[in-house]
Amino acid sequence: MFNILLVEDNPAHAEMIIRSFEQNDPTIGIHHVSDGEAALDCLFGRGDYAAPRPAFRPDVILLDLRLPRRSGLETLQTVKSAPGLRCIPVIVLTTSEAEGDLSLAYQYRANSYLVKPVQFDKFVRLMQDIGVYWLEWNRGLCAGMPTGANMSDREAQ
Amino acid sequence: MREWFSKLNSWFVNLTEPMERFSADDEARKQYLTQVVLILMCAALLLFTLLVAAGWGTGMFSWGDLTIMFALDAPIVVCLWLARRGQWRWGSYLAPALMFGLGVTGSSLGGLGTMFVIFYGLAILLAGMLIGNRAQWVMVGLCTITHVGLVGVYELRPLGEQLAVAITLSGGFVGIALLQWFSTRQLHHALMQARATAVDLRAEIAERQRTERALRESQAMLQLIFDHAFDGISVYEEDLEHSTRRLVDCNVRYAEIAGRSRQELLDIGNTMPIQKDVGIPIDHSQFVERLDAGVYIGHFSWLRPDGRDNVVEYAAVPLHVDDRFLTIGVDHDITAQVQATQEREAMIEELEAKNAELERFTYTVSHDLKSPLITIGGFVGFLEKDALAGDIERVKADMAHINDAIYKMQRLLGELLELSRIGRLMNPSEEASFEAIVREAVELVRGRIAARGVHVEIAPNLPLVYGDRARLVEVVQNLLDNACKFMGDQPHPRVEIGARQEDSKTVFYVRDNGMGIAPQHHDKVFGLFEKLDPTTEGTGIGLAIVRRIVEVHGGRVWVESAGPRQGSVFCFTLKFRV
Repeated sequence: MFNILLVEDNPAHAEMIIRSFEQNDPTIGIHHVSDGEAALDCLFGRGDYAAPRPAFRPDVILLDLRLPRRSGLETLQTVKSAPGLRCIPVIVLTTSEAEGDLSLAYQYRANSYLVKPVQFDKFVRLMQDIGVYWLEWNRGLCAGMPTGANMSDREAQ
Repeated sequence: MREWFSKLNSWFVNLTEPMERFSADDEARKQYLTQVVLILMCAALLLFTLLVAAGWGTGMFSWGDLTIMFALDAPIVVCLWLARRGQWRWGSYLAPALMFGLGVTGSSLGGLGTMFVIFYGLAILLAGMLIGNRAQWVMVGLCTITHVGLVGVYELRPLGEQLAVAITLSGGFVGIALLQWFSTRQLHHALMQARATAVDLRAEIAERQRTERALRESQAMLQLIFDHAFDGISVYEEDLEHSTRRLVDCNVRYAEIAGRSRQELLDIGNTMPIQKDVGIPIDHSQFVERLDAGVYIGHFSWLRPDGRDNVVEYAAVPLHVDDRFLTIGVDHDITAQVQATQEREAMIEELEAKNAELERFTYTVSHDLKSPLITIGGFVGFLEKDALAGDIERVKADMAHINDAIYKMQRLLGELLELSRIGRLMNPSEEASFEAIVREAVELVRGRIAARGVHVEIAPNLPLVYGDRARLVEVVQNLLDNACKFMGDQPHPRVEIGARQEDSKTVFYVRDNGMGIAPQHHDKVFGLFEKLDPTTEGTGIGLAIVRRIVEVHGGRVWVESAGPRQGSVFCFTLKFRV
């Protein structure tokens, strides 16, 4: 069973994404958070996600860039600097086609950069392909491994 | 022998030839003398006649003699009259002839050795003076022969005696003639020399006048250039021992640039106190260095009495002339250029900033409009599926999503239009009471104020502002609206609107005791569509509009907030004269 962490502030888009994935594979577990801060809390097992709940280890992170509280790029940077988290593939899924965002995303070591399509069938196809590629074909490293939950604050920064 | 003879001949010819070179002068002189002589003779004769008639020397003259004497006046007068008419030659012959006649008459009456010989002498003199050299010698011969002959005829002296008399007489007459000739010659020499000198002098004067004229013209031309050059020209004399300098001369333009009259500047002399950045006064060795280097260029400013200090670019040349150290400068007022450069740089900066803003704007807009489109696209697809599956509930939900997205796009577009309009369509600026503006804004936000139960306080003694009244109302309205929206869970919500003085500028503020804003977000809040809390309503454009309006009014807007839950103060300034 695969787990996806979806970081998306637009509820309509979130619903679209979740429905698409569930259509393709009802067994997929999608955890949705609305901003970067919540995402990090979830990953580091702190704040609302503090112990005794185990930290969430998704197989893949779908990350929007325009997020309140903590921007997508910041979140990306943090995740990719944390030793225990950087192995998780982060897929930027955004409406922005700006070159600046693109280059910064790769600079911060995003694994992939995807732009949400406007047309429905393309959208569905994309979600399908993400599932097939990243969950079936791609070999992950830290997927499913219970890590040192509740990392120290130092690492969490 | 022939030589001697020819020499003698030339000397004799020289003796007797008239001075033709000065014939014109001679003529005039002779004419003048003729007239004088005739007048004298006429007067003397008349006087004599009258005296005799009055009774003097009664024994000597008979009435017949008197009549003759009187009659003699006639030809004299006639000749005088002719002379006045220009025919003076008659007179010039008459006078010596008369003298000769008197001499003949007198000596034939009185004999040898009488004083009538004087008349012969006078005749010779007059002949020389009035007629010419040749006539003079003729007269000499005539007188000698006549007198000797007459005496011989009348007195019958022995030949030897007669010869002796003749020689003596002729010697005397010759002497007179020679004297006359010699003095005339001297006179003529002197005249000739004077003439020559006069000619030379005239030539020299003409030459000098030409030179003077050329000099004057050249000077006038230089003066013209000096006076009308559009650059300032100055001549300074350096006092290298005291490291000071004195203005020796300048043109009107130089004084103009300095903002003073030319005379004022010359009176001031040492202009260094009224100049800025002119460089330290230089000493001897520095000046000598500069002499070698030639032209040097620099800048300085005048401290003008009218306060409009300017920037002047100069090219100066140091000179060492006649033991004086001079500096000639040509100055050009480049204030306009400097200003233009500064303005251009400012404009470039502004343009760059605007460009950057436009880019951000375009990016934001395209992104934020695309998002609802994605929603619409997506849910149209789901709608189809759900409709085919007959899931009515889901269909309704999908359509709701679609409509929300459409509505959102519409609002976005509307507010974008509003934002872009602010830069262009401004109402004419006017003076308005800030208090009145605040009250109007409060009225517009009345609903939300009441709903949240906010206590609004307006500070007293608010100043006047100058700008687009409607836009300023919008500013306060937006800030007030925001303050009420972001009260969070504050149980006693309060908003205070007022103005304070900061460094001679008026700062207007809207203070609330609501949610506050974390310091790292203080700049972000004014960004387009930036919403710190996505759950709140609104498109995030309000503060962007506020910033735009304030900036168009030449002011600045910022937020002061210690952090979450500690309230915030939104502040802005306006430039008074837009």
